[in-house]
Amino acid sequence: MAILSILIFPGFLFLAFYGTVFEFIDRKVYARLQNRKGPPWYQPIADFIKLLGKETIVPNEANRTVFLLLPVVTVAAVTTAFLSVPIWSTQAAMPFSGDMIVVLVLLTICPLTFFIAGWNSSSLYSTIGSQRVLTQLFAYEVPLLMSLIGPAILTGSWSLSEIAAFYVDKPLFALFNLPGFVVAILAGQGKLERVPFDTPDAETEIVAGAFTEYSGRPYAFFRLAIDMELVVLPAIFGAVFIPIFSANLFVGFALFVVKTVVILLVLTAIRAITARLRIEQMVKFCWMFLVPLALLQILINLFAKGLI
Amino acid sequence: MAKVTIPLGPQHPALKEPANFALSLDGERIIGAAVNLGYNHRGIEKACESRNYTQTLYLIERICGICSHSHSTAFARAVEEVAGVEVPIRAEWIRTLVAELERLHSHMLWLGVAGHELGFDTLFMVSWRDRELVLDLLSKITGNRVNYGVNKLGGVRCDITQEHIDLIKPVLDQLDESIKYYIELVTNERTLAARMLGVGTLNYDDAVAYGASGPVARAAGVNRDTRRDDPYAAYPEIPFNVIIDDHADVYGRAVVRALELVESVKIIRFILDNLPDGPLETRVPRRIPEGEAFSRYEAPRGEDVHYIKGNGTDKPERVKVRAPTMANAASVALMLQGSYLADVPIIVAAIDPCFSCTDRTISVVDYSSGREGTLDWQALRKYSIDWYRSQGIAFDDLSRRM
Amino acid sequence: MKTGKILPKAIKNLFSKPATSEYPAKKDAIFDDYRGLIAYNAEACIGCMSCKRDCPTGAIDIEKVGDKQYKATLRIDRCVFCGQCVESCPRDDALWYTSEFELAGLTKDAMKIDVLSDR
Repeated sequence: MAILSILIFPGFLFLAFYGTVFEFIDRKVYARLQNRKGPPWYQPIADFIKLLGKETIVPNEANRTVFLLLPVVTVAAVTTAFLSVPIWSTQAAMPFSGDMIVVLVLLTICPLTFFIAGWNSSSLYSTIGSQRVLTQLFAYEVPLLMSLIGPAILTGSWSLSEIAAFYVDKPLFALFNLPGFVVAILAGQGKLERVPFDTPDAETEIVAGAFTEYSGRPYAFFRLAIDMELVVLPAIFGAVFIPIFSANLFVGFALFVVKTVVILLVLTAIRAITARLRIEQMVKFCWMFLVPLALLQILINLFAKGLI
Repeated sequence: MAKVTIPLGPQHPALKEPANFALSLDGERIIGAAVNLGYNHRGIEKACESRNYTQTLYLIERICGICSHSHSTAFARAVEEVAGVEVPIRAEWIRTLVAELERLHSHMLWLGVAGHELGFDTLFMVSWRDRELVLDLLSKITGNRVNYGVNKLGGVRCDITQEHIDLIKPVLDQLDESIKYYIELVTNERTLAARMLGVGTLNYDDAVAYGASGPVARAAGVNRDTRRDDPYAAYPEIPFNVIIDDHADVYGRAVVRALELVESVKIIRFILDNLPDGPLETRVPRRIPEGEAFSRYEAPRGEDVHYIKGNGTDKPERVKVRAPTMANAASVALMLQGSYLADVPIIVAAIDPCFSCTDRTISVVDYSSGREGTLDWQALRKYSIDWYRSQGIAFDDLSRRM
Repeated sequence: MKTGKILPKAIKNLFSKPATSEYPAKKDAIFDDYRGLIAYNAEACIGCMSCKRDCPTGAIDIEKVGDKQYKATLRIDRCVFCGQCVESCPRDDALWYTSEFELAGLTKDAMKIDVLSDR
């Protein structure tokens, strides 16, 4: 059973499929916001298959093993993280106490692999890109963690499943989490490296950032990992900040789809209506705006704890 | 972090054409920059000398894909001056009309490119969508979207009929609305302002000293516009404002271009309402007499300068073109100093560069001896064959190696 | 100053028809005065070679095939569609534009065509 849930549902296969669907929705809505037609539904899958068939080029200076292994590590980390995120019910596939911290650490592995990938490629653009990945990591990681710590303090649990269960029990407490939700969405946008926080792979500045030297199959898996991240983050936010679940499997799953798609649409809209910030503006924004807001959230939840 | 020098270009996604910027970096800050042009030398001036004037006109029109009418009008005016031909007034007004339509689509193109360089693709798409309206108009009036082929020596090839006027007017109303929106957007969007205000500054004195022209100079407060200072075509009779801004940065350049869109629409309306009647062309002899002429033209990107020398035959003796980017390229090095690496694309894009139009002459420098000179075709060919041979690639047995 | 100033416009775009033109599935109408491929009427041609002389790229060629009989060949790979040949032609009915513009070919030979009036 465990191997099934790791490989098929809700593990790798489901996540990969759902990720490509999300990439399609993201691209389609982005295009429609710009009055374009947008890609057909099979475009992300076609892109993936096409990349699989392309030649893999490894730079001479790069360490070959590390270069080829990093995409696999990223995909593995994201898939593992998803196993502990509640989907159709408050109970995740593999919950354990303290899984929230593990999920966040696993998600931190992604930018770290991006950084190593860029650094290992030893090209100028990818080096600059990976520097920016790391700089940005220090900016969004703290507010993202703090925004999730608020609910954790209130519920007195470090497990996503238990947090979700608590809020289903006492749904009114979820309203206190509004500032945290805003922080999480914006920090999540930074984590997913999307406009306005796409400095690490700013196309017009540093080509493809850390992935400049990647091609073929390794690149396909990096893209897949990013698509999966695009699912995992909305799933976490949906579980913690929008505690609407159902005992019925099908209704629960439909609710999961609705929740994640709504969050995705917000992320897409932010991408469509802003210009890219410079890295130092991004860091400033995170520390001057997001961190105080997240602190406020923690403060609110500390007071709310008295109401339980 | 140690100082590093990185080459930006000749191939880089931010550059639509090959050019090279050698940037000395201290972390993300630029402490020195050098501009190297000349990757796209096409030998156009030399090619002009082996064609007759009619053929040259079309070659000149193809110097630039965006401001093609600017180049061909500047050239035609110079030739007409040498030939001593008076262009009919209606032809002058039609030239001006097409010139202003061209300015409209060029500035809208710039707005989109600027949005794209800043990662604001929605602005890019919306502005280019509206630009299509102008291109469709040009296509309907002249028969092509770019390289309109409106000019002929001594006049114009196409007439503006009442039908055309009825086509243009509703589009102008549509454009008015979207231009108003752009101005509001560019001046009020916080993320755009964050990336444009105080970026790539070029103050008044430097703009004058470096000979900047067009919107780059006007954004630095330099009150200079060839349309008013040395009026040509129909401009002496058309009222319009020269847009000046004192931000002296990328933001100022965006504002100048956005407001110039408004002026262009006004000029087009004025032309449509006051188009004089008359013939479309004066005959120009095939053989242009001896003499030289110098023609100035306010292209969308800045001042375009053409020089023609005739020698009594049907081919020009010498044609010299100085595209507006040549005037602005030097100031880019100054603008880049002290800015962030992330700002390079928008600073370069803010002069609305057209490097292929600019690359006229090259001089070859021998690295070992430092000698400077020119190579003729045979020598250049021999050099390239020898160079490839030194790399182990011989072209005579290339088929076998591949 | 406002962040996301373009949002209302973007949402309006979301519910309006895409501006994308779906070439080649749906071809937009080509305007009547479009300068496309030229057409040639051999009967009207007087063989003055004005078009050949003025062509900036040497794309058009007029051959004499008999007594007062001419034939025009065009190298589409050279033609820049400036329309100077039509402009230079002293006759009104010998050369004119058509709105034909999809002219790509795979070989150099395929790009050299006889210009006919019925194209």
